[in-house]
This record gives sequence, C-alpha cells and structure tokens, in this order.
Amino acid sequence: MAIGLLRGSVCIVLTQRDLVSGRPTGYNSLVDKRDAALDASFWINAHRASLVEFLPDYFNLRAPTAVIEEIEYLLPGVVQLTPAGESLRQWRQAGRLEIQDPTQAVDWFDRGENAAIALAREQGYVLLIDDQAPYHLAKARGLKTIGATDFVVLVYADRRLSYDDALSVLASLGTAEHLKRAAMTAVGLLARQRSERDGNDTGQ
Amino acid sequence: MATTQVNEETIAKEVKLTDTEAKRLKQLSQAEHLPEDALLRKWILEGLDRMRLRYACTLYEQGRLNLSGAARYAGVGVERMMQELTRRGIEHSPSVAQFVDGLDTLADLFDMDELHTAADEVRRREENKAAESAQC
Repeated sequence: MAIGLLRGSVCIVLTQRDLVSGRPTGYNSLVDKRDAALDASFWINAHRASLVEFLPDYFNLRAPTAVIEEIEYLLPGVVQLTPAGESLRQWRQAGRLEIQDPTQAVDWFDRGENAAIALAREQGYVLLIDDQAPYHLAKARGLKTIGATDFVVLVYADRRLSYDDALSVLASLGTAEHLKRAAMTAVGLLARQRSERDGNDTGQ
Repeated sequence: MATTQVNEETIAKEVKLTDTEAKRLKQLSQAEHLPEDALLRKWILEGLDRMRLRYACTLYEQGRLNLSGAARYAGVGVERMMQELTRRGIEHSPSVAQFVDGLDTLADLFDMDELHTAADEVRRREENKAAESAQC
C-alpha cells in the first residue's frame, strides 16, 4: 500500500494483495493460481494439518493415477479409507482435483513419486511433495518444488491464518522438529514485519 | 476397522518348542480361549508385519527406499509409513535448506517479497547456528 498527496487530497493506492489481506471471511483469491502436480506425501501431511481447503486458492491441483492409488490405498481385507484417502476421494468426485498422468515416465523412485515428478517436469507444473529424497532430486532437476511446511508459511503470509493458528498448524504437521522450528521462525519474522508495517500488534 | 474375509490357501510350518515354552503356550492358549495353532499363527503374522515395517524404516533411513517404496515393502499405506517414520524419529520431510528454498519459490510464484525476506533471515540464522556448532 502507498499513501501520497494528490492535489491536496490524500491518495491511497492499494495493491491487489492489500485488497485481499485482512479479509476476514469469503476469501476471494486474487493471486494467479499455479498448476501443481500433487504427491501423496504432501496431501497426507496437508490433510493432517487441515490445510487442504486452502490449496485450491493457490493451485490448480493435478494428481496422477499412481498418486491417487497411493492415497486411496486399502490394506488387503480393509474396506474403509483413511481420512486423507476419503477426503481425496471426495475431492476427486467433486471435481476439485484433476487426474492427469504424464505421457513419459521417469524411473527415479517409486510409482507415485515418479508420476508426480514426471507430470511436473513435462507440464512445467509446481511439484507439491513432502518426501525428502524425491524433493531433493526434483529440485536439483530444476523443478519448482514446495513442501507442506512452506505452504503453511504462504497461507500465513497471505493473512489466511492467524499467528496462533499458523503455529498450531505447523505443530500438527508430521515433519521433523527442527523443520517446524525453522518454519515457526519464518512465521515469527513475518509477524514482526507485519507489525512494523501495520504499526500494530499481530498477536505474536 | 471394517474388514472383508480373504480366502487364501494355507501351508503347514513346524515349530519346535521346549517343554517350558510349550507349557507357557498352553497357558496362554487357555487364557485367550484360542487353540494353540491359531495363537501361534496370530503371533507369527503380527511379528512378520512388525518386522517388515521395521526393515522398511531401516531401508528408508539408509536412502535405499523412498516413502512409497517403503510403504509397499511394509505392506502398509503411505500415511501409515509416514507415521511410523515419525514415531521412530526418522526424518522424511524436506530439510530446512529445502524448506527455505521452497519459501523463495513461493515468493517468486505469488509475488510475495516478504517470503524472500523471511527465507533470507532463516537461512542466515541456520548458517550462524551451523558455524556455532562447528566452533563447539
């Protein structure tokens, strides 16, 4: 936001982000959504931390069949999906997530990761993944790679989560403690920047 | 958990026990109201599942399997595999360096400079921490 004087009157210029920020309800995303290839690890983590509802505001989600099968996996003899699996099934049926398979497979890891990486690579999609080794390789091959922990910080930076909620979501992620602490530091820094910029307390 | 019956042919395996072990088995069989062979089968299956899961965790930790591969090896879903790795303190999520790179990626994707600033600061603090540990 910029404030200036124009012919004696106060002129306030708002960016799109200023208009979105602080909107308490009925979020109407003005960010340009990005196409993203989903891996099972990201979905499971995001679901566990109740983050999945934020995903469609930032990404057009695409998941290969192999990833769907991994998330909706049923142990032999079991007929009930896990909560993450059931949620994905509902999203699929509601058309909130598109199934898209790569035309050319890569053979770096297992079926799911291979398919998600191949799809991101050939379509230029962002890769949403929370598995360390495939994350590393995908990144090394030049893919735009995002983990669930990054996504929490994005949602907080976009003022969709309060400071306390962001910390609580980070705590509930199934990630390493030192990673959670680094993300909490990032959230704390953003809170401080916001407080300095807005001139008020953000709840930190 | 709801289950369906899986019909599969079984084969016999012989297990030799000492007198003491056989007596203990008999006692537990009576206490559990299960025939001895059913009890032994239950324990073997539970043990096999546990061992496969443990070995899958080891292979993951050694970098010989990724999440899906480890889950498939252990005969569990990816979600269960992630829980098991977390429970055993085996890191499976991206590293701090990868997380910070991810923030930069998000900053570029969504035009959020504040994420770049946060990423730079976290990176600087991590480097300081590493330098301090190296000195110690």
